[in-house]
Formats: sequence, C-alpha cells, structure tokens
Amino acid sequence: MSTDQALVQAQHLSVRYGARRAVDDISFTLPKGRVVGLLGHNGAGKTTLMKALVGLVKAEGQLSVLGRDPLRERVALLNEACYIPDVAILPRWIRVADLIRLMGGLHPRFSAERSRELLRRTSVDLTDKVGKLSKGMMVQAHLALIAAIDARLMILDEPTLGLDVLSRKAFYEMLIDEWCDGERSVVISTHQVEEIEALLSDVLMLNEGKLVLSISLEDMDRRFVALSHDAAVADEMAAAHPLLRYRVAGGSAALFDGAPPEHVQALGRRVRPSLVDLFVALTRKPELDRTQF
Amino acid sequence: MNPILPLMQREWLQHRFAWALLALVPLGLALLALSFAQVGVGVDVDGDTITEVTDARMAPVFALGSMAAGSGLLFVILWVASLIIISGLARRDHGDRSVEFWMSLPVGHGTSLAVPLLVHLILVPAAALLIGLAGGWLLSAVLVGRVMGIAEWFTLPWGALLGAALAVAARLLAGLVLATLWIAPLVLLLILANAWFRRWGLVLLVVGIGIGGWVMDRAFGQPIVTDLVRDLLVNAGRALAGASGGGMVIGKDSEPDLVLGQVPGWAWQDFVAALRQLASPLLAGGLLFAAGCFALLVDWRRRGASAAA
Amino acid sequence: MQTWDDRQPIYQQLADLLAAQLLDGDPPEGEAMPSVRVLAGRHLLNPLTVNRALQALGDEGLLENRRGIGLFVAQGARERLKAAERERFLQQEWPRLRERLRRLDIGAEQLDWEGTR
Repeated sequence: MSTDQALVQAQHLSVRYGARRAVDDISFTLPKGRVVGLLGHNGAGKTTLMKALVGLVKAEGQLSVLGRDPLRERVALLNEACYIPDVAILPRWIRVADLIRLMGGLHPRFSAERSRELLRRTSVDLTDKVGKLSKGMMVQAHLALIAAIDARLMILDEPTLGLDVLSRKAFYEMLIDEWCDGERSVVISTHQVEEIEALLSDVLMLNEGKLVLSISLEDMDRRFVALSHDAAVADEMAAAHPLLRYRVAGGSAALFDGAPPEHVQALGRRVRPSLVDLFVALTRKPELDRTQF
Repeated sequence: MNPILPLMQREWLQHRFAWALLALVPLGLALLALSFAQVGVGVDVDGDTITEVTDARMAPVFALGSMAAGSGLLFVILWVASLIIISGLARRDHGDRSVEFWMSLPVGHGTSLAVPLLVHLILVPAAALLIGLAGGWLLSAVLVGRVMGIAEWFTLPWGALLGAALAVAARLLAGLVLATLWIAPLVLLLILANAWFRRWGLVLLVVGIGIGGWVMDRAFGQPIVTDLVRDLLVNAGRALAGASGGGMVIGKDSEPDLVLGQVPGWAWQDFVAALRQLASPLLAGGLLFAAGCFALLVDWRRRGASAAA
Repeated sequence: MQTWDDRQPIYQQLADLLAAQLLDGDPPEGEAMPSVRVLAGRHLLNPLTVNRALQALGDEGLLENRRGIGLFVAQGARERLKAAERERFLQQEWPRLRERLRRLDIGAEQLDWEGTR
C-alpha cells in the first residue's frame, strides 16, 4: 500500500533495556481506518512497543508515526495521536471537573464539552475526587476523557482492565461509534482476546519481543485452516504437523498454517480458527523463534 | 496551544489548600496573639531598664514593623515549604504512577519541569510576601490600637508608610529573583540527586559535599567546595537584602516621617548594588552548572523515568 | 455479548443472520438497509467485517447499491431467499427428518399439518 496511506511504518524496530531486547527486530505497517489488536503474554513487549510508538522509549531501527519520528517530534506527535498507558493512573488528588479543564488546556484535540457529555452516561460525578473513585469508576472516567480526544491514532494499553461486562460492552460500543470512521486507527492491547476478536480488523502478535504474526483478520480466515475431527483420526492429523491440536465442543481440532494435503482435509470438517487458538498456537513454544511469516 | 498557564493551574489546584493553610494560620495566630495577649513593646535603653514605649511617635515604627514581620514570616514559611516541594519535583507523581498520564500529554519535558520551578521558587514566595504585607497591615491596626489607641492608627502618615513598605516589598521581590539565580545550582543539584537516588538524594548530597569539602580542604589545602557553597548562599542572602552592606542609620530623635521618606531611596540603592554583584564568575559558573543539572533532569525524564519503578 | 460460533467466518455468519431477517421482511424490499455503522454498533463488529457481509449479500443479488444513497433491499430478494431456503430444506433437512420419522414409525397421517398459526 502507498506510504501516505500508512499511519505507522516500522522497519527493524528494536528496543533494548540493557542487554535485553524487549522489542526485537519488528517490521510492520499500519494503514488508516483499522482496529489493530496487539496480543502477547505479559512481558512480550506490547507495552514497550506502544511506548516506542509515542517516543517514550528510545528505539533502534526506522519508525514513522503519522509521518513523524516519535523520539524527536514527541510533542507534535502527541497532538495528533493519543496514548493511554493505563486506564487507572489518573492523578488522585484532582477533581474530575478540574481534570477536564486541564486537559482542555493541554490537549488541542480534546473537547471538554464532549467529555462532560460522555461522563453523564457514567456513574461518575464532575465534583468527584479521582482518588475517591472505585477502580471501575476511575476507568470509566478515564475512558470518557479519552473518547473526547479527536486523534488520528489511538494507542490503548489494556483499556478494559478492571471493567465489568457492562462497562466493557459500553467501551466496545463507544469504540465502534466514535472511532471507526475509516480515517482513524486504533491499536489496542488486551487479554480479552475472545471478546475483542470481532472488533478487530488486524492483529499483531508478539512473543518474547518478536513479531510472530502480522495479519488482517480477513487474511487470517483464508490462510489458517482449522479441522475439527473425531478421535479416531487423531494420529493421522498429528502426522500432518499442525500448529496446534486442541479440544472443541464434541471432539478435537487441529490448526494448520496453510491448507494441509487433500486427504487430511477430508478427515475432518473445516471450522473457523479463533484468534485465541491461533494465539496459543503461535506463542506457546518460544524457542521455535518464528520470525514474521 | 500554550501549556504554560494550564501547568501553572495544575500547581494551584494541587497545592492551594496547603498554601492557604501556611499563609492564613500564622496570620490568624498572630491576630489572636495580638488581640488577647499582653501586648507591649519594650525598648532596652540603658542596658538594664526596659521602658515601655507608648510614645505616639513610635506608631509608624510599629506599623512598619508589623507589616515587615507579616511579610517576612509568610515569606520564610512559604519559601521553605516551596523548597521542600520542589526538591521532590522529579519524582512526584511517581507514587500513584500518574506521571505516565502527564507524560502522555503533548507537553515537552523541559516545559513540564520548568513551570513548577517558576511557580514554587518565585511566584509562591512572591505572593506570600505580598499577602504577608497585607496581613501585616491589618495586624498593625490591632497592634497600634492596643498599645496607643486606634485613633493613632488612622492618623499614621500612610503616604510615607506605604511608600516605604512597598519600596521594601519591591526590593525583596526583585531580590527574590536574584537570590534564586544564586541558589539555582544548589536547588537543581538537589532535585537531580532526588531524581537519581530518591529519598536518599538530600543525604547523599550533604554527605557528598561535606566529605568532598573536607577532603579538598585537608588533603589539598583547597577549601573550594565549602567556599563555593558558602559563597553562593551568602550572595543569595545579599541579593535578597542588604547588598549595599549596611542598613540605614536611624538617629534616636529623627522624625519618623523623614526616615520613612528615605526608605525607597535606600531600597533602590541596595537593589542596584545587588545587580552589580551579579557580574561575577561565581554566578556565571553557578548558572551554567544549574543549566547542566536541568539538562540532565530533562534527559532523565525523556529516557523513561516512567520505566523506573 | 453475541458470540460467533466456529463454523464459518464471522462475516458469513452475519450475512446469514441478515438474510434470515430479510426473509422475515426486515427491512422490506425496496427499503434501505441499515448503515454499516449502525449494524457494526448493533452487533459489535468491526465495520470492515460488516462491509464484507453486505458485500456477500450483494453478490447473491439480495442487495443493490444505489449510487450516492446506499444499499437497498433488491426487489425479489425475499423470493430468492425463500427459494434458496426451500431448496436447502428439501435437499438436506427433509431427508434427515424423514429418516427420523421412519425410525420412530410416524406416518404422514399422524402429523398435525394444520397446527396453530
């Protein structure tokens, strides 16, 4: 795709903490109008990658975010991109109304009016002190602030952590209503892989700092083949070297990268590989060291 | 979008209650003390007798003294409090991790550090000075009223009095800025030490300077470290007040009005002397050192202060 | 939240869901389909997925694109859907049902054809 379409371009990106590489030689492109899931175990490098995208850590390699070098043009970049490192780290001593006013003065794309409007739908009051809010309410307040920012790129690190089901649903609705306009892109890291799968358009999977998968969900459906089968043919399935074998309701299944031979396909019924299964398959054997497919 | 005013607003929102407390409680206590305690001003004339002064001619002195005391008291209290607050500048917001929130906003690292320095080192003490002056002025009514009768207070030569008070206030305000320049290297070194070593910063700094100074003095015969620190502090003090070396001479029988009239002139000359003292290699070196510390702080923050627990 | 099963790609499942609704006359022929945004919000799906589903329905001739206005339910869509469903019932479901009836020894005359409508 053309470079002016891409919001983020990373080439051989690495981030080192001393001798350890938290992000190891990653290359990917992020077009506009996408919702990208950043998946990985704890310590896989998701947070580090996000910090690199907004210039909060020093990175080697080439990185261009919204056409800028994050490290050198951090402030200019943050005017158009929005980074939420954690939804529970608002200053505790401040009142919500004052926080909205401060954000209005510090962030050019923040709409205080919109924020207050969104806050009305939550159980958080403008006069509440942030420190007195329960964790769930603080997250709601933070999300009401974020949603009022009209940025071209939103980078959120585990935004639904600590939210109950209803609040998560409200967040997903807000994501679709407010942010999926075809121009803006959203990068979300989360552990709720099953819930968020339907909302994603692309996925970046990290394992031990390396990018093990960078694919659109559309291509994922086409490329990976999951075959559900009876126990009787388990051995033949195993002989075809699937990525993963796992249980499904009523039997077993095998996951392949690319179509397995015809005779193997005939042994089972093709089903949709879920993102969770793919995630387990690609991140459970770190020593296999699969670089980008 | 200029972040300076919102950043200043942040300081106000975060510290306004503490500031109000530190400013109003002493004034309130002073008011109570003056209102109900046995108030009298004694002057030691001959070395063994204290004669109580009720001479109405001393009223202007009382009034000026009250304003000076109020002003000085609040200034010192809030300046010390500000130094304490500012010494932890690098690591504030780390406790509840809200530093990550602040760093996700489009504000440069330098600006984020510079604005609090301005607010706490200059604006707050300056405000304290003026509020103390106003408070002292109110208290002077109580003081004069109780010692000499309130009528005396109203007939004070307010023109000259206020002229003198404001002149001194202006001198102190200007002196505050100059003194801050002198102590900048020490303050920034302290902030940096606290950034690198957390709460051990001050201890390490004192020990470091102490040992370093002792070593330089005894081992090399060059008491340069202790001299530097002492000189910086002394110059700061002079920049604040007394740069011209001496106070005013007040004769025992001189007319208060005349004396008051001379205060602005004295204040101006003192200020000019302080300005002249700025032309010193010690100050230049100190400012360079302070700038270096500031650059290191910005770098520390940029490097991912958020990465440190 | 709606869960999508593992049988088919999600966009296909959505297309089937929308087709079932079309069969029930929701929305009726000649009327506009809900916008991509509305559908995405309703089913909590990425709009790109919704687009693929609508594309699939369009490919089957059930929807038509009126330039500048949007997607509308094509005339004759219901008939076409009903015909497809009928075909599928007769080819796949009916033989299974018939086999089951045989196993249970139920004859045609024992079945209640009228029922309550």
